[in-house]
Amino acid sequence: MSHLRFLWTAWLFHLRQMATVKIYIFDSVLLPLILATIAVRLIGAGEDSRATTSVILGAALMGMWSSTLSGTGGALGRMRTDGILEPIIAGPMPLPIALAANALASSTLGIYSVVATLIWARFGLGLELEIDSPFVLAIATLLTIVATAALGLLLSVSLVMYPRAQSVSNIFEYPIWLLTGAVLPLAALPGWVSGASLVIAPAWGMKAITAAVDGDGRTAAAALGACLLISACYWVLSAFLLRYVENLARERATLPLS
Amino acid sequence: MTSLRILFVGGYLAYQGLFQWLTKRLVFPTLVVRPVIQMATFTLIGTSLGSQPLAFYAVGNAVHATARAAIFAATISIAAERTNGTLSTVLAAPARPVLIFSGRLIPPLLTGLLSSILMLGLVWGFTDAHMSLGAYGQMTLLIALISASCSALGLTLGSIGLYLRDVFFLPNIVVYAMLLFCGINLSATQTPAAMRVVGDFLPLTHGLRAVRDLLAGRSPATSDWLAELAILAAYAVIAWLLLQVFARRARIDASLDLSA
Repeated sequence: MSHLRFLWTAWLFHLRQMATVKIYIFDSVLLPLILATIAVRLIGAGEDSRATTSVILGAALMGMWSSTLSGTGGALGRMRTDGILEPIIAGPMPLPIALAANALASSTLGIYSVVATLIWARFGLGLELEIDSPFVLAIATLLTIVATAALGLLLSVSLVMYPRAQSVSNIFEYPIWLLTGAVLPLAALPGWVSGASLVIAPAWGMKAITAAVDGDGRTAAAALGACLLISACYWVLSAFLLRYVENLARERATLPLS
Repeated sequence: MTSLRILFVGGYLAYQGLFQWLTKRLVFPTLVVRPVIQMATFTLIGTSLGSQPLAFYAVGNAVHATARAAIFAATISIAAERTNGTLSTVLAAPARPVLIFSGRLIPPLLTGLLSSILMLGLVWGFTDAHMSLGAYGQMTLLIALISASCSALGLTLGSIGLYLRDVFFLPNIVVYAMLLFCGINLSATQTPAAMRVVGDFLPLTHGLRAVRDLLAGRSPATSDWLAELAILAAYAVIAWLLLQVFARRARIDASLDLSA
């Protein structure tokens, strides 16, 4: 119970803090708007409004992932620079829970992404948007936030272990954009990409979002189930790996290195 | 002579200090893997959703990698001093700030240039874009010019960052906005007139047009060379002015070492 209370409090704290940091505002609001505009301009006029809506929401998912990547990587870097990573690890709360709150907060900014891109598409780009199942879309968005946070947490394993990995963590930005099928349908990519996307939880979230737009309840439910299951696997795997690398980083005395 | 030492030796030493994370292990992912992944991603998006040939998107994004490297390097040359708490010392030094910061741009410019040439080589290998032997010199000059004009823009943004505290916010916006405004992923017909006007005042737009001309076997228009040069000069002057103004302003407000 105390873990859940900590998770809630820390999530709220990080969310309030991140919502005022310009770089997260860029990742979660401005970046998706730029990507959505490029995608819409590339597609051109005359595309089916449901397909356009899916592309717009895909751009939002790209922003969600970018802010999660900045949030998880940046947070560990800041903890190291400020010298608080060691007290956090030495504290009574397990490290995976402390980092999970941060990952969840950064991916929650994805709500900004979704709202901002939809408003921009409708009023800035003048597009007709069509969503058949808004309620399912809301659930799919929330689950995608959880899935994105779980993927970010999994990535933070390497950042605890290798302090300098933060400098190159943004390499993961683009591959995940593609693997989730956020802007391009996975069918348009080589077969192995579709195969790899099966184990990427946000890719199932994106599938559910697209199905919600199309009003395909059955596909949305199946995708949401897969998204939930894979996200749970990420959380468990991250908790296990974080404990392992935490011990390793203590032994090697690499925790405070930045 | 002293000015040259500040420019080149100072620039090299600062590069070693400020870009300390650029170790042997990280240099390959930073200068090769990331730009290649970016190029591949946007090329895939462009070819799947757009109507231009593959080479159009690949060339645009390969050159954009140079812009990205140059803008961020210029910004880091100011931001990292601030993070390390040494910016006030640098600005209090007897050397002119414009020389100090210009020198810091030379090593990243060279690495960015190499990274871009490598990617254009990839473009050449994987697409039907070709270039005559005689065009190599012009292409290298063009990429160097684009790098320089983007660095001047980066320095301008870094100078503004002296006042805004959050140094990386503006460069991030500009780097990604370039994807939209500078004809990297959108052809002239896909770009609305207002966006084209904005693009005309940004580095890269004219240089990229010249690069595309060279790769198409045409001689680049003199107006594109001149426009890119004019943009370089304009941003260099603006950067110099802003550096003076905002450094003074930051001293008055005691915000020189504050970072977000």
